[in-house]
Amino acid sequence: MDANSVVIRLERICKRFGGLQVLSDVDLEVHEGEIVGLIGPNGAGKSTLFNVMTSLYRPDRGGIYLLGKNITGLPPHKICRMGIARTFQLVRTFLKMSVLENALTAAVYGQQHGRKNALQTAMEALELVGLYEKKDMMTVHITLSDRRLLELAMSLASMPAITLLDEPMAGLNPSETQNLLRVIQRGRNERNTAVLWIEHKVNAVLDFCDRVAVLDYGLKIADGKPDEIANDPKVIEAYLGEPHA
Amino acid sequence: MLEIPNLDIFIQLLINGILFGTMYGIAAIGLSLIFGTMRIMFLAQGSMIILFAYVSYWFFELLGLDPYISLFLIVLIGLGFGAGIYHGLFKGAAAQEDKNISLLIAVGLMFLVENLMTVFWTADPRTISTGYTSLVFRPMGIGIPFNRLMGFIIALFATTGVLLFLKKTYIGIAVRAAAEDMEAVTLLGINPHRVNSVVFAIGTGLAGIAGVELATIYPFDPFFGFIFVLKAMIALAIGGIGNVFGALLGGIILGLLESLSSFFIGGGWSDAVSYGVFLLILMFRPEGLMVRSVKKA
Repeated sequence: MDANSVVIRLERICKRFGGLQVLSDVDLEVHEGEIVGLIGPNGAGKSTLFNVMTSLYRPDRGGIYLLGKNITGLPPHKICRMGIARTFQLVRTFLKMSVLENALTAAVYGQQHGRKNALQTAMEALELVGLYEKKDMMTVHITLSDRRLLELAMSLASMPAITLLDEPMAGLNPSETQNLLRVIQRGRNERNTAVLWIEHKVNAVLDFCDRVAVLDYGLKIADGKPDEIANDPKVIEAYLGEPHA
Repeated sequence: MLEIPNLDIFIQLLINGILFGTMYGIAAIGLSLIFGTMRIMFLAQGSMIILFAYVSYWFFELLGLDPYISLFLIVLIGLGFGAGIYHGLFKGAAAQEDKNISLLIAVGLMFLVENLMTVFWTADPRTISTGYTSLVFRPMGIGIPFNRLMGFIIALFATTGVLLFLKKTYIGIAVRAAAEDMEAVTLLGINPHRVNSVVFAIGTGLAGIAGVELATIYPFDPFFGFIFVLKAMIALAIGGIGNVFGALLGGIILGLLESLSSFFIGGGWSDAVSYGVFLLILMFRPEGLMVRSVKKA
């Protein structure tokens, strides 16, 4: 791939909490229209990496470049407007608002240029994830799986260059999971949005993603095509523990 | 000893309670909005109300401006002043995890405003008396004081206005979202300082309305503000935080409670009864009397 299609580039990101080095020199690139899986054992630093990318945490060192622009240290709301959308492991939709109001908020404030077609953008996003019929329902009354779809719709409504998905399948049953995967793929195909995807279900990631990066204790230990990753001894070791000597 | 009042007096008590209670309600709506995004009780709200009561008093005494005309001006001043207070005093503290800093700033602001008012206007009680101050309507023999009726109508308009703002405008929807989850809201591209300054503007604008109302119906002094904000907090406890109409209703219920208890039990008891109710609600229904508790998923 040529360098122009790089959507986001992380350069030697370091983050430490007290004495704990959570991220050490993490480099990562995601290209246009690419779905990249981010896997690793618990505590590997995956969610921290997302929090750094969305500027909830400021990295101790290193730079984040979105479409070639250095966005390190900008406030979170600006980063969203510049094109990074994210969903949460524990869904954070607004329960006391209607489904449409949720999507509308994302469309109005998340897009770089405004609110002109916000309503239409929000409707289209709901249509794409299949929530259009439920648009007037209160969010507190829809199922967890619908709320996850709503978060996807909200991320799409902000017209991002890249969407960060934090365990979007957690708590979903197999048929809901299949539906969600279809929606993610549709979002990518129709909008050409890049996706960076944290997932615990390693098999799903290996089946579904174009590329997979593996974090372990804050270090990126592998980055490549799914079949390379599946056979990488370092990855197997990270997941199964060190072999006995 | 309970007296048995005749029906006229009873109705009079109800009307006075309702009409006075709307002022608590208006103050409580402001508290509720500010609490929604800032997570603090804006304790200076009462002092703001008194400040605007003095401003309308000045408009009346110095410029001869009728309070119901200066009301519009004062609401505009309140909106701007509120946003100014946020940007000048709270902006830095709002970003901190520890909300006590913001709370302390509010307390400091309250004392500062109280004392400045004492310097400017002395501690003597003031009130605005216009040609219609003692005007009373008597539909079907029931006396309704004109000033209190106006206050009630203005409060209804203000509440409806706030509700429409929260429901129909983009920034209003953002304020509701921010009250649920401020961090998630910033990750959707909303500037937290924007929603915070909007709630401060509206809260202080509402304080302007309550201030004008107060100045027209009740003698006030600089230190009345603290009692007023306590009453607004009781109204909020009754109505439930985050519920605009509930806050107004809470204020009205509190007004009724005070009016009835001061008649039936004795004048000195009305405050004791309201604080007693406050504690009881906080102990047994901390989410508010009128809120169906929504369990989070």
